[in-house]
Amino acid sequence: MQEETVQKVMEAIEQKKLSPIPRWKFILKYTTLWIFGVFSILSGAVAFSLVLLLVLNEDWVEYKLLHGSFLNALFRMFPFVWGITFVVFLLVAYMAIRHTKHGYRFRLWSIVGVNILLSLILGIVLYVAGMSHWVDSGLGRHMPGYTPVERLREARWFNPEEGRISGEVIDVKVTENTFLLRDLMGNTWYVQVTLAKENNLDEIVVGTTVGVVGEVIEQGVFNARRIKLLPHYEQRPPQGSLRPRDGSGRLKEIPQEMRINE
Amino acid sequence: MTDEELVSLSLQNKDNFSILISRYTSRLFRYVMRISGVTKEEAEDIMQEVFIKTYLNLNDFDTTLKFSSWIYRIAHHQTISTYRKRKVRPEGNKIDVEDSVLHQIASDENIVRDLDRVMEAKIIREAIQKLDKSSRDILVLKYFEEKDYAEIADILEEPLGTVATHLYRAKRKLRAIMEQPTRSKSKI
Repeated sequence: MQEETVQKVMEAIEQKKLSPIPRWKFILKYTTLWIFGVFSILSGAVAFSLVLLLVLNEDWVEYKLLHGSFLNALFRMFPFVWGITFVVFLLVAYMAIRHTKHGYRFRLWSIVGVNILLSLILGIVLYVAGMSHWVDSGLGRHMPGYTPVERLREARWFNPEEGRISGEVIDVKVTENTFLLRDLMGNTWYVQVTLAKENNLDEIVVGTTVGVVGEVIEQGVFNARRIKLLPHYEQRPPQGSLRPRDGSGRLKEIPQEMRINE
Repeated sequence: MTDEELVSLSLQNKDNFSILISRYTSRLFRYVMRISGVTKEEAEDIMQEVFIKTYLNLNDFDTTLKFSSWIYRIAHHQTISTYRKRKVRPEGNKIDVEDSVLHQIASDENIVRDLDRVMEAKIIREAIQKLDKSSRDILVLKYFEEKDYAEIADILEEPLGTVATHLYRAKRKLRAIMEQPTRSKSKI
């Protein structure tokens, strides 16, 4: 049998003109797998950084106001899509690494564990470095149907029937304690801040995005009881303020008669 | 000349590959027969495929492995591939091994000590044939092909810890199967 096998195999090699696959093809294969694995880990990190962006920029404190219950808030505010994307990239990274030359030597939990750790650490670094904001804005500009986090937040705040509006401040009238606000639909609201108790009124300048709690007085007129700044990562430089500035640009003391009622 | 040296020489001149074929024909043939239910002719066909694949992939041979582990791995994959295509049932494949090996298993596992040695070999052989495929494969590699844990890990492409776990479970299953006829015998 031995001689017969040798003869048959060598004849097959000769007749079919077989030759060993070149080494560079194997190098290319394994390099590609590793690149794919690393890319998947990085993609997972980006997905995790977006999870952080969305979770850390949500209005968890106002969950009851915005969503009624904590469970409802969790369901609506947690970025499940990015969470699932993170898990998918983890699995892809695992499959890629598992099929490399020595990948089989590592147990599932060790490959997945290291992948998760790397993605989490990198994700945190990306978030702190501002990359998640950049990705979020870029997706908002270029991907149809994608809503950046700041717009999502603005949209959640906007519900005039329940006494909430949101939008961009487009004008400030210091002496009248009012400001003009343009909502997501492009409508303009005249907001009176007489009863506002928010402490950061100094920061309400043209270009800021705010959420306002109060009452609708009439069409296009809103009385504010509370104002919350909604961070806008592409905010234009402020052009005005509810608080007057002196000639050098420093904020003036608010006269007593103009101060907001406590 | 070592297998690894022959691999290098085969890459320079294909005629050197015939020496590797000669070295591994008998061993791989027995291995293929032990882990599958194929006929002798089918096993020979599988062997030819294994050697052709080995030749084509010589440049992929990982020098950190033993060549025997690598070619056993190819044989294992090719056997499974053929087995799935032809849907050969695993039951009934013959464990053609000397009784001494079977006694070694029994001694290793401290089982069936009260039977005479002829009965012991017969029971072990039947019990192994009743095992599921993955349990049988790992026991074949450990006891019949005499591979160590590292070699089994390289052949089956599993982590070392997983091999140890699978082997432990396979032995437990074997023990459970073997203890069934022991209980019936004791009733008599």
